[in-house]
Amino acid sequence: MASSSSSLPSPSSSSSSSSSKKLVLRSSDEKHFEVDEAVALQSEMIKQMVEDGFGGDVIPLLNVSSNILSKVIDYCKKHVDFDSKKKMDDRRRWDAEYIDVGVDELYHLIMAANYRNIKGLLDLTCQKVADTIKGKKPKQIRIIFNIKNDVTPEGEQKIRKEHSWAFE
Amino acid sequence: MVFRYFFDELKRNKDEVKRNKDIPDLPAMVGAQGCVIPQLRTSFNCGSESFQINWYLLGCMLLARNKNLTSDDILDKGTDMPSLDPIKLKKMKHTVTEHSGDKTGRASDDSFLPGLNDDMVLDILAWTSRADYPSLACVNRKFKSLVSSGYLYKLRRHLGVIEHWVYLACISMPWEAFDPVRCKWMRLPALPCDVCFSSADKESLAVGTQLLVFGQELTGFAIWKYSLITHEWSRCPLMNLSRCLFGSSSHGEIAIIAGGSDKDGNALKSAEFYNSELGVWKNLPDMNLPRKMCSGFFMDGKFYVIGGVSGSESLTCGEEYNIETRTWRRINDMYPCPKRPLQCPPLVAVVNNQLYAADQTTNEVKKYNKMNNTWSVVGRLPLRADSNNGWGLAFRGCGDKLLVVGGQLGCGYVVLHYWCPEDGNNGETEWKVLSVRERSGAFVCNCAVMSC
Repeated sequence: MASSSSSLPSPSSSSSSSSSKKLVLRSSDEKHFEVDEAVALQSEMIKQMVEDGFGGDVIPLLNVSSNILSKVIDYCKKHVDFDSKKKMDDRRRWDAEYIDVGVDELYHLIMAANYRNIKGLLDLTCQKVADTIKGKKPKQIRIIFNIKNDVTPEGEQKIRKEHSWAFE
Repeated sequence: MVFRYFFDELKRNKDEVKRNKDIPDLPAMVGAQGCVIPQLRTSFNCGSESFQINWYLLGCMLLARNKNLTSDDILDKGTDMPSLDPIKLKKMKHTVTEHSGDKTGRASDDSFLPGLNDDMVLDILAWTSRADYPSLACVNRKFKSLVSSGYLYKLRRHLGVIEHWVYLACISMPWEAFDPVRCKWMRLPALPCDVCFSSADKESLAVGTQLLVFGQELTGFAIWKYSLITHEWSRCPLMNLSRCLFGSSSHGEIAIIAGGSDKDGNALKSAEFYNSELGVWKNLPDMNLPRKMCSGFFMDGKFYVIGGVSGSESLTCGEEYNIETRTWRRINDMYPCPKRPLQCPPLVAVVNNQLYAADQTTNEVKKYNKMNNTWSVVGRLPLRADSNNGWGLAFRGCGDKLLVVGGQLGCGYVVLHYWCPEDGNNGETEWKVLSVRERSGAFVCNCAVMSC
């Protein structure tokens, strides 16, 4: 179905069976990705576009760079497989490995998942941020997420005292 | 820019007014605080529409001036909706966040997590454990005001994120909170009540982010409320008809109390509804029967009250309250263990919308069958309830766990036992120890599970 598959520069993800319908996605840096329709339709946004009749064209994803898009496609492909096999343990293990990335890449994945409306990936990435915060001290949270501290040491002492019941 | 919602509202109203040529155009608005005052002064000479706009300007000014003014102050007044609708929540979000960043999700340096849009971060923070909120509050000023606004709990309710903490007061231990996930005990501040309240019997109920403690002061019935957000005790408004020994339960930010005893000891058939966000009590229709020393619970979205006594008669019936139709329905023979003299109100708990009861006479745990209104024994309590007629022991639902808290006479401590009814254990009770609270005394005075 894709109109220009032969000229695609980076079809790293186009290796699936040739019988299924394909869609072509274009990243913000103008790279094209050919993917199975089932994989692309993990994204509610793309699903909507296909329903609205845009499935035959190249689908531009203006906010997603090629390296993030290929990672997102990895997720969608794997989860199409998982959906058909329903192996919860495998899925969990794979997800844990997949999401073991730095804060910067994590943010990009969150934004891509949010923009393309991929619920599973959004939940996974947001949960990763929540898990990173878990049990951390305020100072550690500031360092990990590069947050400016605008509280004086005295002010911090005061806030800490207010919340001391939780730290005891 | 700050408070986009109000800005949008303002623009819309401005457009409407523009159609009316008599009224001069308004100067550019949000942030331009200086222009608000003259506008307000002239507004009294203008038509009603212009007056309306100036209220918006005033609102913007107040909000811009006082970021601590929380969204609930503005949006929650005058409504007793038990749940938040998404539109309202969206509006609240606009007053909580300062809108750093653009629609693509990129954000400026002053967002909660630099690099990520605030709207998204708020959802993420709602998913973090409530045990981490005190730490987050210490990160910087923006986090501090977010945590102390209580907004995250409203968002959690909306997203269906719930954690359960146990609030416990024992004979030798004032109120403490227990987090079953971290197995951590946290002390609550001392209750600033009079000596009468502190020494007399009390009842408790957790609703929303509040723990309510009902009792009697020298001057009469009193309700104290502990707020998880402020970590402080304050007085809670009294019910329309003050009472004790009622049945009660909560569901999210709302609670229902039913029946009970008035100050002269008469059993009541009246019931009241409490909205913890608004801090107000409202009367509900009367039950079919008066009853006191009864117990209450929510199951399948409906409120139930069972057991207790009416006059000299021990009741085995229950009543079901349908919030939507505002009606009570009597259910005969719903409670399997009719109350004997000196026994405590029914020990009942709901887990996964299944009702369980602890028999104070036989020490058995029973499960209710909704279909045919019968009970079956699923096991025994991990402690004896009969030795003290059921008093001093707590039987509660806590997420997917059934919780039994109590101690043996003379041991000086209480043990938190739990059992997960759905854990493939053939329906038989298999109690495990969650925690032991030493030096508490073996008698549980009050126990409430706060789910938020």
